[in-house]
Amino acid sequence: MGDLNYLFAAFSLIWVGVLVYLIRLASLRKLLEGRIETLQDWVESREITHD
Amino acid sequence: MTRFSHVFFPILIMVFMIAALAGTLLLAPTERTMGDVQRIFYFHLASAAGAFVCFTCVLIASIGFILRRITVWDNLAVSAAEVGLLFATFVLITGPLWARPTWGQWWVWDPRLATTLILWFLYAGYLVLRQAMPGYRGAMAAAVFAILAYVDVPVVYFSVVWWRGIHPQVLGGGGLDPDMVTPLLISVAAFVLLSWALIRERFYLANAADNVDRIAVALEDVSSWVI
Repeated sequence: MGDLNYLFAAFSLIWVGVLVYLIRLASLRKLLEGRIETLQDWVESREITHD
Repeated sequence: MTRFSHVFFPILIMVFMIAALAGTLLLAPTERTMGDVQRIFYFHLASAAGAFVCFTCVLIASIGFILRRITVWDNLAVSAAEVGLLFATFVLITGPLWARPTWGQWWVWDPRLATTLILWFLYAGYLVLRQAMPGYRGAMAAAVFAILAYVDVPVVYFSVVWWRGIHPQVLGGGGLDPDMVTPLLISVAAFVLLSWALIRERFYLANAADNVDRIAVALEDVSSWVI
């Protein structure tokens, strides 16, 4: 393994790590949006029932 | 504030990250004995700086939680610990990748390396503890643990001064070429900004999830009361 390969391996792994964490944040956001939507549907269905 | 956080701030981080990459590859001089592989140093040290900022944030938030006992502080501590662990992982990955061609080994039981590995396990343990013990008691136990875990941060920093090892002492050791200072500072600024942005986003999501939980519980209460 040449010296430059170690350098590029280090750079790549950092960027992959940041990208994986950004994907994790995006999936958490998506999950939260799903929960809010479910909650909204539940509230709307309740309003219809009580009216 | 919204315009700053959603448009200007990500652009600022992108500019700093590109500047850090350009500084490392183009601006920084090639080290005489190690050659180009020494350029790992600019990201290795910047990752460590990012991790230290995050762990200091965990300490402050944990003290805040113990004093104020509100979940916002706990959310901040968990968010900062998560991002800090990511940056500490970068340190532990880039270190061996630099050590192999220069020291001839991936890992040496040097005081700096050993204390950094302990630091990684401490904050991984913190996150496991927080996950395993939800609620107020878990948050309190994790806050106390985080305050104790922070003791390892100055130990990591001063390990090269206190004990004889092969890891070089960069800051305060006088071994840094003046031409290396500017690219190093750009890299450190980029990584600290990135860690701040990641903590901010994670913290926002944790608080939003808490609010949704609270609303769901309140709605269930109201619903049973109406019926």
